[in-house]
Amino acid sequence: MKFPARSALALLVVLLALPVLALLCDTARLLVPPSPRIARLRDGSRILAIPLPPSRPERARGVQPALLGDGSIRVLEGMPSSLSVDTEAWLVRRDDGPLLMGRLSGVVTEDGDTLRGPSARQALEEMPSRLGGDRNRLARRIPTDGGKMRPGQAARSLALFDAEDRRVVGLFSDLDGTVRPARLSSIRDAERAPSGLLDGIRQTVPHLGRLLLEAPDAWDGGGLEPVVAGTLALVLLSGLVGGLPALLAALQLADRTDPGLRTRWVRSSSEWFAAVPGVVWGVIGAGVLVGGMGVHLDSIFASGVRWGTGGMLWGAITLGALSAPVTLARAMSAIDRVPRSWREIARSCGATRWQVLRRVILPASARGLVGAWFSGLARAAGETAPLFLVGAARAIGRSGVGSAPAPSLSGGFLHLGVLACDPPWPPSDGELGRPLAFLSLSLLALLCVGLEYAAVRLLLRREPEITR
Amino acid sequence: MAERRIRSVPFSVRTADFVASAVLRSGGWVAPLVLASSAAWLVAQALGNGKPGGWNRVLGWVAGSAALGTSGVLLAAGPAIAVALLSRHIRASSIIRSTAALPLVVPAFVLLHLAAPWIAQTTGLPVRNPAWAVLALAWGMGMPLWLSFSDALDRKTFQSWTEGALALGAHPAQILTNLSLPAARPGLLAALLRAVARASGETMAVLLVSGGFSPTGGSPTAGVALVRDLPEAIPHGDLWCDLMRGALLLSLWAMALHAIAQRLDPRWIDTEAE
Repeated sequence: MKFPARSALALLVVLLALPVLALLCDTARLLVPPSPRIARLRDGSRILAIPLPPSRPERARGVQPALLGDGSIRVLEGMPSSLSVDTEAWLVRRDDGPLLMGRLSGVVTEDGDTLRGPSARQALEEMPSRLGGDRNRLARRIPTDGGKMRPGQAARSLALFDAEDRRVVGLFSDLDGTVRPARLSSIRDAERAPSGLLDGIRQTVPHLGRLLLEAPDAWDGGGLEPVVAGTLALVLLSGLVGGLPALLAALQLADRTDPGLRTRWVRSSSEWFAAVPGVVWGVIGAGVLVGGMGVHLDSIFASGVRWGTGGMLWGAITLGALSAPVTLARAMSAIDRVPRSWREIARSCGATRWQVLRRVILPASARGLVGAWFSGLARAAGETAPLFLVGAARAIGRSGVGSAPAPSLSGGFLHLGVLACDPPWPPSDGELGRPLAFLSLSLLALLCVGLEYAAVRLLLRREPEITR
Repeated sequence: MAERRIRSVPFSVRTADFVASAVLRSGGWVAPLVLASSAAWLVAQALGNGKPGGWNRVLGWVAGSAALGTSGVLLAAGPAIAVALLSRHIRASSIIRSTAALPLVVPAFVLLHLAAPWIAQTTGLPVRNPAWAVLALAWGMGMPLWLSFSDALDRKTFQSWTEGALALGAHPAQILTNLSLPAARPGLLAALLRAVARASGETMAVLLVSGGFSPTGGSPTAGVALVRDLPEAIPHGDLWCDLMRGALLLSLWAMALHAIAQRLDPRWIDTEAE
């Protein structure tokens, strides 16, 4: 009797948990770096391409969008008759241009020699870091007078280096014979299609690292480092501006030995306020903080800092306000678990309020209070809609590397949820941004679940007996 | 007597007591004051200027939110109650409990990117469709509903009752219909109302899968109207006032549902009182 019930239960739980499982599986699938493939077209010609999923009209027309060797996305007339992975082709990401695909035909060195075969491959793998290091060292010396080299001399050396550096190129050839040069010092990373499972795993790990540790990039999507940092900073800041006052309010009410009308009223109203949708808090934040205080601050202080266009501080206060009722209610619940008689005995023994709080209430409810704080953080982390109204950046620049907004309290900020719901990449580059959108939502889901898990563990754990 | 005791307390302790009380009192007032002043600001904005005729549009938005939220929750309630009844004797682990905090935008995103294209290809329906919003809300609310239903059944059905009924020869189905469900009914109803309140206020999931438009052309819900139209609205203009009214009504709807749920079954219970 028990077996079918448990099986049915497991099936239903899997069904309910399917969104998370599907999201994580698809994210893992998209994290495998794309491999250049040999597309054999119907006219018999062969090119290197990464096929992209066709839209409904494109499928109806029988055409195939694909990322080609020069980094452009084009619609190929006629579906390729076969697609096989080219293990000799390289996928090259550069700082000064779009993605590049091709077989490595050679590397031209500073001396004008052309390396071929294994030595070309070795040069491709080793030179970018060395050349980039040389260039950075020269560039660092230009604005300083303290170095051995004078600024003017350093600038001339850098110009000379750049002139020579332009000659150091990797030559990548497509299957139709087209050769495309790529300046070696501008190559951020170059990878070949994995030849097996182990090779695939070996390539996926640095790819994941790149997605997590690099800035968003207009050329190839880049990574999520400032987005993750912005989200964590926003959530922590909301915990400080909203969670801490809520904990103080709960402790202030706990200070009273008899729960009066005020305590009961605060308990009821905290649940009502916790029910207010996040988007309404966004409206209040946009009206009171951005449109009210922000504009007022801009009119008073004529500095370069703009508060009237939204920013991380207003976002944190909004998230703090919407999570405060949750923290307050759960903190009051945690404090209620401390027997009231303990407080009464302590007060009757002559302990002051602060002593009762420090020696009785805090030790007995510390885990619950931290759990309540985590619970508020989880609520704040899961809200996306209010951030659209208080200044979340909805686009990264399209003009090159490092165009993500700089982290500051007053400027636009990047958020994982906003990036997933409103990807900044235009539809033509959607395939490049797709792994990032999936990854950002997976990270957001893991953050919310992780914070709530910590809260549940802390709230459900029994408090230790007081020994002193 | 009490005065003498306090005087005997060292000065440093008295100072610490004074400072801590002051910090607690001032800090403790911040949260309630911010919440109360936010509510007052919203009421003032909503009941300020603006055309009286705008209420029709506002009521349409809020009715859309309520209808969408209720449909999604009712769709999820069936599987959730089935799982809750099957898992009456199994305590959900902390990791499963923590999935209740998963943003509803996750199922909406999965539906939009993985399921909707396939459904659209086979059925010919548009990829962004308000009908998916109901499905996404149902999918997302399934797990929280199951956990709430389980808690209600667990808390309200005492083991001794079940054992007594079994000793008297009752069938498990009779225990379910005559004992467990009637005892847990307020808790189940409260969980349902809280879920409807949460689903009614959901914005990003609806915006993502519906594209922000209802079949009639307007915004499908109040939340979507707020996110889509507020940045373009002129402060204190007609649209602005209507949006504020929408925000106020949506809040009142969610708060009313929670107030009823609280009357039926308090969520954060004083365990000592129990």
